[in-house]
Amino acid sequence: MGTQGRNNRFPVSTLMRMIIISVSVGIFLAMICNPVCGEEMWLETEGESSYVGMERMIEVKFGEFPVPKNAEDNISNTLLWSKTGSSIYELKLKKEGHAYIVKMAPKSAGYYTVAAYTDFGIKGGFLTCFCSKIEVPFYGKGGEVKYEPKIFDKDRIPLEILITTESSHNRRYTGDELTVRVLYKGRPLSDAEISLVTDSGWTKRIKTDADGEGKVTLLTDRAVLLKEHGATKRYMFRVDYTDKAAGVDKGKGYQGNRYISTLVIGVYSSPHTWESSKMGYLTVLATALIVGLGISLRRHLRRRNKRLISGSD
Amino acid sequence: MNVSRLRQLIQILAFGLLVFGGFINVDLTHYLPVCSCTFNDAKGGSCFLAGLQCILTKPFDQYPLDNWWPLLRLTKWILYTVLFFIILNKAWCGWLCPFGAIQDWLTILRKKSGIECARFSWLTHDKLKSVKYILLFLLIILSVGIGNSLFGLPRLTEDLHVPMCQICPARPLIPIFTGDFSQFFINFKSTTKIVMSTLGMTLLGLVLVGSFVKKRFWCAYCPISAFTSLFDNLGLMQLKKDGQRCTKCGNCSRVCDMEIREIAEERDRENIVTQDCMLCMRCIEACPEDLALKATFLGKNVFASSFEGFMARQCIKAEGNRER
Repeated sequence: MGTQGRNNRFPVSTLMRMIIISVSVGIFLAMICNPVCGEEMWLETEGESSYVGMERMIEVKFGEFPVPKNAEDNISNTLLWSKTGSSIYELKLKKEGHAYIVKMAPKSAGYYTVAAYTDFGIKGGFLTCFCSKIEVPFYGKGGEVKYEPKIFDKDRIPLEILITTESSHNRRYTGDELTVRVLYKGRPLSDAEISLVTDSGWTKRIKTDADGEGKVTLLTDRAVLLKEHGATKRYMFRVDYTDKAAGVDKGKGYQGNRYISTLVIGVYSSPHTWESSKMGYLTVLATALIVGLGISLRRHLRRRNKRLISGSD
Repeated sequence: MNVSRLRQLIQILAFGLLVFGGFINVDLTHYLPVCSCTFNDAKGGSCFLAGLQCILTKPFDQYPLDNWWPLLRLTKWILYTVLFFIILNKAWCGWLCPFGAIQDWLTILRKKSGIECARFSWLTHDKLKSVKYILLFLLIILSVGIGNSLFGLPRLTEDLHVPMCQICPARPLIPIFTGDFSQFFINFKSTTKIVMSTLGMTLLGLVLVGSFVKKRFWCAYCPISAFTSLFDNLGLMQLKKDGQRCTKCGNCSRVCDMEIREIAEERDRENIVTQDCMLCMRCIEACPEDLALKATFLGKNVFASSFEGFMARQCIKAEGNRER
């Protein structure tokens, strides 16, 4: 019937279409087939707090970048500790399936900080090390559960990110202004760039001042799609610092030490003070009522006019 | 094959997955630009319009050329979205969209109540066609204006963040299905918030009544429909018409939920997927002529009109009416 080519908008033949689709799929596959690895390491845990007696699982995670060849060895050599007060305890890393996890079940309540350190060997001429921290309060009998900004340990975690702002009820809320300090071997690190990354990839960058501090505000609307009602989201602070201390590691020379440090916090949405649910329901009902009545009235008038015209009234 | 029943079934499954998927840890957000409301905690995927608005809000200087990772993520997101809509074309709207499913259920409710359906005149229909493009344009320009200074003007207030989500009727409606009524509110924090939240609640009231009396009331104004109309001719799913076989009975246009008259009137063009079409295939079901209308995927017929099929469906309907 000769209906081919009558499409007068974009006369693209089926073959051309298939070529376009194939190329797109190829690019798509190339994009998603990035081997997974670690340009950063971070710690993740479910929920925000635990109770004494409950076992909490913390997972060691790595970001999505090309993997070094000896990644598995490096990851499995990650050292982990937990600290409460001034006591530091060593934790054992286990591999379960594809995940690297550590479990902790402390016997007394307190504010625990879990830290991890991994040496990834020489990458790009630098001896690369990953550090990460996460805070987990354990509630229950014994011990005070209150966030206190304290350095973890400058020898175990050479590059450390510390939030120096006190938290309200051990919670961070959207809208909170946080002061973040970066410490390198126990000393404040100035002019360091801190990235604040949300789990959907939105990033904010700040630079530390002479005291190694930077301020950041956890805004609801500026961040990703935080639902404004009680949900927590994860924010990750990240600092990447390279020093010029050259050396030799396992017979190979390196130009300096590169530290990539992360700190993961959970952020709650701030309680509503400006929203009125009653007004919301009222507006919806009023609109629905007005529109509904309008439609009914119009139909009634139309039927009446029809009857008048047909003379059946 | 009863395509309408199949479509209803797929709609229910898609609704379950996209609205309740979070309960079973389903999260398609990073892989597919599905359009389930982001404000639903138990969502199985996040609305791509919300993600688009957030990306557009980002200041341009946060995409430094020396750090390719954010650009790579953005590029990946764009590719996923384009591929998704190239594959599905407008079938997303007719078969998978949870908000579309809600409107179809309201239509079923109306039919059972015996209330007459409302239809706009063609003049009104044509005038209102551009609303979705205006909404899409505003969504883009407002989002960009929040993070960047446009034409030397000061940046827009952050109270306008995710402007479409603030007025979208799906935002308060979809979370209701998971028992969450928290999105019904007027926000008095600022004038902008008052206006946007009031608009949102008003639009919801309008859409609820509108969708009850008119089939797929919101779909004609949805900015996602405006976005997907870019893929009308590129999509792998197509609706094709053989003008020579068409007898202009008008059945297709009469049954069309979107009141598209081009299906009946067009005789020259083969591809008749228009900006409002949602590829529900009701027109194909209603067409009594063999191969006059057909749905194709990658050029292959998926569903075509036939006299036999048409008569079989009429018999089924007649039997159903008799039983009642």
